[in-house]
Amino acid sequence: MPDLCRRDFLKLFGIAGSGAVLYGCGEPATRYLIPYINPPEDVVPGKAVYYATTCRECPAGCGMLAKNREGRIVKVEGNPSHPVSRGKLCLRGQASLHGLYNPDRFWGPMQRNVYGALDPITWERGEAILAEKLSAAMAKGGGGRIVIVTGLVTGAIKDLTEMWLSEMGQENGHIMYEPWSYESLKKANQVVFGRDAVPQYRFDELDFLISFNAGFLETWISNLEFARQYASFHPISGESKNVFVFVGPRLSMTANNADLWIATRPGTEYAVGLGIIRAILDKKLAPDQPAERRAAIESMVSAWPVERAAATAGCDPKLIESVARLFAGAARPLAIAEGLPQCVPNATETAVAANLLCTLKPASLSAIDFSCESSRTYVARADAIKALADRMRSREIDVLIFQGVNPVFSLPKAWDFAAAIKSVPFVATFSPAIDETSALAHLVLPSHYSFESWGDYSPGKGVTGFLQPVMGPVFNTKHTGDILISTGKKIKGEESFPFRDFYDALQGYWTRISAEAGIKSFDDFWQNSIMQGGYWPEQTAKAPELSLPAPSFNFPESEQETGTGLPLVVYPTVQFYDGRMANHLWVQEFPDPMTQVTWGGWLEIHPETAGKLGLKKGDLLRVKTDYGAIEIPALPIYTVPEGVAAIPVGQGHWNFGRFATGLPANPFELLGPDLDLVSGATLRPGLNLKIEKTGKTFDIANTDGSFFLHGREEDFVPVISLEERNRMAASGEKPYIDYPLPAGYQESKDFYPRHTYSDYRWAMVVDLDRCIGCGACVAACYSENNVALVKRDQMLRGREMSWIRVQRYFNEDAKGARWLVMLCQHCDNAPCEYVCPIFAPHHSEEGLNNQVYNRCFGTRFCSQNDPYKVRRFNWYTFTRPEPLKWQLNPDVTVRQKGVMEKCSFCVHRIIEAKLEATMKGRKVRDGDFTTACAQTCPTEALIFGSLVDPESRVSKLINDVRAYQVLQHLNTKPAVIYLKRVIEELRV
Amino acid sequence: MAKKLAVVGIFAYLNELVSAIEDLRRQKVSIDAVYSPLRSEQIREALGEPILGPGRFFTLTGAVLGLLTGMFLAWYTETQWMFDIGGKPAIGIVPVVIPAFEFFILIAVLFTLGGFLFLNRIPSMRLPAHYDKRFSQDRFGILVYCTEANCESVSRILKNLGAEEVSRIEE
Amino acid sequence: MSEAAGPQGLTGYGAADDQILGAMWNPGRVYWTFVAITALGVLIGASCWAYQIATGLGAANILHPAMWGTYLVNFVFWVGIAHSGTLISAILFLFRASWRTTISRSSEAMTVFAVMIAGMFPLIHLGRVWLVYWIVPYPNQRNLWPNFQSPLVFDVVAVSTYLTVSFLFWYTGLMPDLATIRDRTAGIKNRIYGFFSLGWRGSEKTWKTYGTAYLLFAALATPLVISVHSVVSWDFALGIVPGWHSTIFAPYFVAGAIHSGLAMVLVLLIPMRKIFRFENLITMEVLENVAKTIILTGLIVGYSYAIEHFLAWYSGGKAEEQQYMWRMTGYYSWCFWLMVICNAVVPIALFFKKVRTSIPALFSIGILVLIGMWLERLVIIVGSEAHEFDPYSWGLYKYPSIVEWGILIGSFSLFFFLFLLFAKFLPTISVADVKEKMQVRRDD
Repeated sequence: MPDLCRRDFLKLFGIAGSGAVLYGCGEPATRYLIPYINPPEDVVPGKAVYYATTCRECPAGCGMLAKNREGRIVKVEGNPSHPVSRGKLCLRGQASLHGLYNPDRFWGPMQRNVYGALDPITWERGEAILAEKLSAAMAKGGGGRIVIVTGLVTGAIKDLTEMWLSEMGQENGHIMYEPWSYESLKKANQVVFGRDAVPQYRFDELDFLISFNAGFLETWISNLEFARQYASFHPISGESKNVFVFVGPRLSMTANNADLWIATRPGTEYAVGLGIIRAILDKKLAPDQPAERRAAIESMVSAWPVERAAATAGCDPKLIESVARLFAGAARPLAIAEGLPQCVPNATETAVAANLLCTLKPASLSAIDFSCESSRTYVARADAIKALADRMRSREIDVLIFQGVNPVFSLPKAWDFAAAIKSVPFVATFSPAIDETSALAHLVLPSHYSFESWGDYSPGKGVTGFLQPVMGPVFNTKHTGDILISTGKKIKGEESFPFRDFYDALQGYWTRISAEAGIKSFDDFWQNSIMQGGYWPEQTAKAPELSLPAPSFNFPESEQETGTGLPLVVYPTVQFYDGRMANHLWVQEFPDPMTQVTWGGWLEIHPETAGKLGLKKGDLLRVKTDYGAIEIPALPIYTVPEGVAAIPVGQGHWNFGRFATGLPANPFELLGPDLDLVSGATLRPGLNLKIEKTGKTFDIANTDGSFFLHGREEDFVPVISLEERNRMAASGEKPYIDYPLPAGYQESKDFYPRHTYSDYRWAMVVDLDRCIGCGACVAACYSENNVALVKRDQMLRGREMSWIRVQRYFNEDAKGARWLVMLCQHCDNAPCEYVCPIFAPHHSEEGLNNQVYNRCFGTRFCSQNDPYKVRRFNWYTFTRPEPLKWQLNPDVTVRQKGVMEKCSFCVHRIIEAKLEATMKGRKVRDGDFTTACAQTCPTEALIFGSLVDPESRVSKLINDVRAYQVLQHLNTKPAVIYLKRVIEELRV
Repeated sequence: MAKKLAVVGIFAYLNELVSAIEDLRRQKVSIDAVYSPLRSEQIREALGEPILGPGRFFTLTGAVLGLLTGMFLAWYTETQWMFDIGGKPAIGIVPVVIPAFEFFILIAVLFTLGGFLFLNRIPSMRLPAHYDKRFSQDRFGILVYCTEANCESVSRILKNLGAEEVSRIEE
Repeated sequence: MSEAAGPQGLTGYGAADDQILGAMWNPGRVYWTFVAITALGVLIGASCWAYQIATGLGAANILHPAMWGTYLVNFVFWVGIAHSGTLISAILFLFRASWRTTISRSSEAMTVFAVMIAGMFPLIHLGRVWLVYWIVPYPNQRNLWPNFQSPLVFDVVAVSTYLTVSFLFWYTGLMPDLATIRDRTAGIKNRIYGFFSLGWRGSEKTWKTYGTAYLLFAALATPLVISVHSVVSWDFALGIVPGWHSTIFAPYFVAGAIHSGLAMVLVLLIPMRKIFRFENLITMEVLENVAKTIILTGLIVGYSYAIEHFLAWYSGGKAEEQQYMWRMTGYYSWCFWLMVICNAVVPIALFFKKVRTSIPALFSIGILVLIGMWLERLVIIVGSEAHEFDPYSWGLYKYPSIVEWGILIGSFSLFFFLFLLFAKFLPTISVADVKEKMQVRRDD
C-alpha cells in the first residue's frame, strides 16, 4: 500500500500553539536573505516539512499536506489519512497555492475615501471603524441590522460567528451563501426520501450508475471523493466492468467517461428518467415493491410511455429501454441527478425522477447515506438570499459583512444584487482578495487565506479537517475569527469574549466537542488531530434504512419548443467551480478537459449548427435572453448535440484581479430573476438564446491542433472491447510491447545494441481505463516543476509550457472523445537525443531522458525530432509577479529564455528517494516515492516505478493484455506504457 | 658578390614567344625564366615540362592527415563521455564518415595552397629587378642570365627571334 | 563547348585589361545609390537580430510544433545559392567547358558571400546564440565536446569547410589579376593590391605550380560541393519527421541548390553585364549555356517532387501519406503549387531558343526560380513540422514576424552589398583566363 510507505517518510508536523507561526515571509517584496538568528522549530534549510491542513477552495474539504520549504509553502498534496482525499487532490486543490500567493490579494486593511478610492489604514483604525458602525447599528435596536455573509463554514468559526452575532443581539444574521446550493437535489430528497438534505453517496459499492447530468467527477458535491469511488466502480476489475450511463444535454468531462451518453434536449432529462421507470414497471422488472408505492409511482409515470419520454428528450426510445433493462438487471444500481437549479431547467423534476428510479432497487439505497449528510445541507437557499436582498433594499440592514463570497458575480444579474448592496449604509468585507462584491465595500479588513489560518471544516457529518497556519501571512492580514473577537471585545468588553484569540476559541470549542465524544486527554487529541489533519472517528458500518414516504409530485407536461433560438446549457467546470478559481493564474492556464480551451470562456455549439448560423470559431457573439445579454466567442465543437448551446461558468469577471478580469463571459448574467416556489431555488426557465454576431472576434486560445485522430487511433489511443480483453487474458496472450529493457531488443528490427540497466529503469504506466481526464496531474506538474506560465497572448501563439497534458481526441463519429495523457516518454531510442549537437539531452543510466538546461543553447532540433511533441521551448524568460514566485520549488531550476525543457520524471524526487534509501542502507523500493502527477491522480491512473524490479507494480502492469505504446512503429521503445481503455458494447 | 648580368627579351605575341623559346633551346641557350600574363600550354610544351608539378604531393599528405584528423577528433571526443544518445552506440562508425570526409577536403586544400606558395617562394614583397610591369598585362618575357662574354650574342639572338626590345640588366 | 562562347572583339591583351579593369574605377551614381540602399537593409537586419537576442526567440513567429521558421529556410536557401559558384568554377573547369571563363569569377564571389550569409542563419536561429562556441570542438577543462553524431555538427564541419575552400579557391584565382592591377597602378592602390598579390610574378614556374594547385582545388572542391548540400539535406533526412525522413533528399537538395544558384547567376550577371558593358565577354551563348543547365536541374527537381509524393503514398505510413496530401491541399498548398510552377514548369520554357536568348525572359525566369526555391525550403521545413504524427500537436506557422522579415531583408541586402563592393574593388571577370582564351598572334 503506497500510502503507508509515503506516510513513514513524510514528516507530518503540527504546530503546538499559534505562537510558533512560521517565519520567512512578512513583506512580499523582501529582497534580502537574512540568516536565522534563532531558527524556528521544524524549519531546516533545504529540508521540506509537511503540515496537514484542509483545502478550502471548494466545500468538499479535502485533507491536504502542505510542503513547506524555508518557511514558504511550495506544494500541496492530498493527505493520505484523510477520508475525503486519501492522499489525492483535484486540479483546484493543486492550484490552491495561486490563491494564497495571488498578487491581487488585499495588502492590508483599507477604507473607502470620499472619492471612492481605497486608502490603506491600520488594523486598529479599521477595527475601530467597524466597531463604531456596529454599535451604531445595535443602538438602532432590532434583531436584523447586522448580517455576515460567508461561504459554507462549520465548527468553531461558525460557532464564534453566531455567538458574536447573538452578543450583538442579532438573530439569524449569519448567512452561508454558496452558488451551488443544490436546492433542487434537497427538494427531491425530501419528496422521495423525506430528507431535506444532501446525502453522502457511495459509488464504490455499485455495479451500475446512471447520472442525470450530475458532473460528479468535476464539481458535484465532492468530486475528488467521487472520482476515487468511481475508480473502484467503473474501471475493469477482473473479468468485468460496471456500466455507467450519462443522461444530459452536454458531453461533459463526466459524460465522456460514461459507457453510454444519452444526449437530451436541455431540461428534459427527467423525461428519460420517467421513461426508464415506466419501462421497468411495464416490464415488471421491479418485483419487490410494496403495492401502494408501486401504485403511486405508476400514477406519476402513467403519462410517460417510453416513446413520449424519448420524443420529449429527443433521444432514441431503444436507448431508454435498454438502460431500463440494464438498471433493473443490476444488483446494486444507482441513479443520481445534478440538482443544480441554474444549469438546466427542471433540475428538481430530474432529481425526483432519479430518486424514484433508485427506490425501484431498494438494495442499493444504502449507497445514499443521509446519516453522514453533506454540510451543503446547511447552505442558504436562493429564496433566503432573495429575502436578504429585499431586506437590504428596504434598508433594514445597517452593517453587511462579506467573507469569501462573491454573490455579485454568481447571482443572476437580473437580481441586481449589486444595487441591493449599494443601498446598505455600511458594507465591510473580510475577503482576502478583491472580487466584484468586495469592490463595493466601504471597509476592507482582509482575512487570512486558509493556508495562513487556524480552523476546522467538516464537509459532512463524522469528518472534520483541521486547518493550521502552514506559513506566516503573506500580506498584512488577520484571521476572520480574530477580527470578530477584537471588534466584539471593543463593543461588548473583554468578558463577553473570553478568549485570547481565535486559536483559543478553536481549542475551547474542541475541548467541548472532545469532551462530548468522551475523549480523556484533550492535549493528546489536539496534537494528534492537528498532526493527522483532522478528526474522523470510525464510521458506523451501514447506513440506516431509509423510510420511504409515499411520493407525490407532479411532473410538468413537456413544454413545446417555445420560440426560436438555441436552448442554453450552463455548466460548472472542474477548473473554475463557480468562478471563484478564476483569479488563480494556473487555473486560467490549464486547458479545459473537453474543449482544451484556456484563458477565457466560450459558447459551445455543434459545428453543424454553427455552419447553419454561419458562425466561425472566435466570432464574438452577442448572446441575449429575456433577462440579460453577454458577449462571448463561438466555439464550434462536438460536445453539444445539434441545436444546443452551452456556456461554462467561471469566466466573465469584471473586477477579480489581473488574471480573471475582462475575459468573456458570465452565463449567470443570462438567468432570470424569479424563484422556483417548489424548491426555493432560482427559477430556471428554458432559456432560448438569441445570437447575433458583433463583427468583432475574440480568438480562442485552445491547445489542441485537431479534433480527431485522422485514422491514427491505433498509433495513439486504441481501445479494446471487454470480450476481446477477456479472450486475450484467457488465452494468455502477451501484449506487443517493445520493452525499454534489455528484453526489448529484437535482432529482427533493432539496428542498435541492447540497453542494459543495473539498478533502476524508471517507467510509468498510464491506465486509460482509469483516467477521467480531470487534469489534476497537469496542475501537480506545474506546481512541482516551476513550469512557466505564458498567459493568453503567448497561448494563442501555441507556446504553452505544460510538461504533461491530457490530450482530447474525438472519436470518428464525434459522439464521444478519448483522452491521452501525454508526457515525455523517456524512450530507450529517443529520437530527440542524438540530434543535439552538444549532448544537452542524453540517456541516463536509469533510463531517464535527461535534459541539461545549462548545456542547452536552443537549436530546438530535439523538439523538432520528437514525435510525441512533449518538449517545451522557453521563447522568452517567462516571469511571474510577486508574490507568486514564492511558490517556486527550490529543488527545480527555473529556466531561462532560449532553453528547451520537458518532463524529467521528477528527477529531483528520484534523487531524494535514493538518498533516503541510501541512508536506510537499501535500494529504493517500489512505492517509496512517486512523481507529482502520479501522486495526485485521483483514480491512480498513473503508476510510476522501476522496471528493473520485477515485483514493482509497473513491471507487473506492462504485461497486462491492454498494454500498448504510442507510435510503437517508430521503435522508440517508450518507457511510458499505456493500458487501453476497455469499452463495452451496450446492446441497444 | 659579383653583379649578375641578365638579358630580358620582351615579346608581344605568344606565337613568337613560343617559337623563340624553341629556337633558344635548339641553340642550347639556357632559359632562366619565361614571363607571361596568362597560363599557356604552348609555353609549357615549348619548355617541355610536365602537366602536374610536385604540388600534388602536398595535397596527398594533406588529404591523408585530414582523414585521420577527422576520425580521431570524432572518436576521441566520443570516448570522453560515452554518452548513450538515442540508443546509438557511443562510438559511431557511420557518423564518423562525414567529419572524416570534410576534414580530408579541408586540410588537403590547405596543404595544396601551402605547397603552391612554398614552391613559388611567395609571398615575397619584392619583385626581381628584371621584372617588367608589362609582364602581367600584355607582354611576354624571356630571361637569360649571361656573362660579359655571351651577353651580346644572347641579346642578338633574342632580337633576331622577334623580341620587341632586349634589355641588359645588372642585378 | 566552342571557343565562340569565349570573349569576343578584343584586339589585344591590353584591351582586355582596359575593358575589365577599367570598369572598376568609375562606377557612377547608380552604383552608390544601390550601395546606400543595401547598407540600410543590412542595418535593419542587424537591429532586428539585436532585438531578438534581447527579448528571446519569441520575437519570431515560430511556435510549438513548428520550431524552425524562416531562419532555417534562409539558411538552406543561401547554402543552395552558394553551390553554382563552385559548380561553374570547379566542375565546369574539369569538364573544360570554356564558357565558364567569363562568369567563374563573379559566381565564385557569389558563392563566398552566400556561404557567409548562410552561416549566419543557424546563429540567428539559436535560442542562446552567446553560447554558440560550444559547438566547436575546442579543448576545455570541463572536457565537454560537441556531439559528432548530430547532423548539426555535420553542418558546422561541412559549411565551414566549404566557406574556407571556396574562399581560397576564389582568392588563388584572383592572384594573377591582382598582380595585373598592381602593375597598372601606383601609390596606395599599388601597395594594397601588391600586398594581396603576394608578389606574383607570372613566370612560367609560377604558372605551372598555379596550374597544379588550381586543378587540384577543382578536383577537391567538386566532391565537396556535392557533400555540403547533402549534409544540409541530412539535417532533415536524419530526422523522423514525416516529410523530412526520406532517402532521396541528398541528390534532391543538391540539384535544387544548383538550380537556385544558376538562377542567382543570371539575376546577378545580366545587370552587371549591362552596367559594365560586358556583352562581348559574357556573351549570349554563355547565358544560353547557363539556361540549358537550369533546364537540367529543373527537370531533376521536378522529378524529385513527383517521386517524393509517390514514395509517401507507397510507404503506406498514415502520417507520411497525409503529410504529402496536406502539402498539396493544406495551409501551405499555395506555396507548394507556386513552388512546383516556378521550379519545375517555368524552366521548361528554356527549351525554346527564343526564350533562352531573350535577356528579359532569362532574368525573370531567374527571379521566378529563386522565389520557387525559397518556397521549396519553406514547404519542406515548415510544412512538415506543422503536420507531424500527433494531430493534437499540429500547429500552424502562419506568417513571419516583423523581426523575421527584417532579418530576411537584411540577409539579401548584405549579399548584394558585398557583391557591389566586390564589383567595385576586384575584377569581376578573370582577366588572366580571358587572355588565355584570346587569339592574339602576329600572322606573317
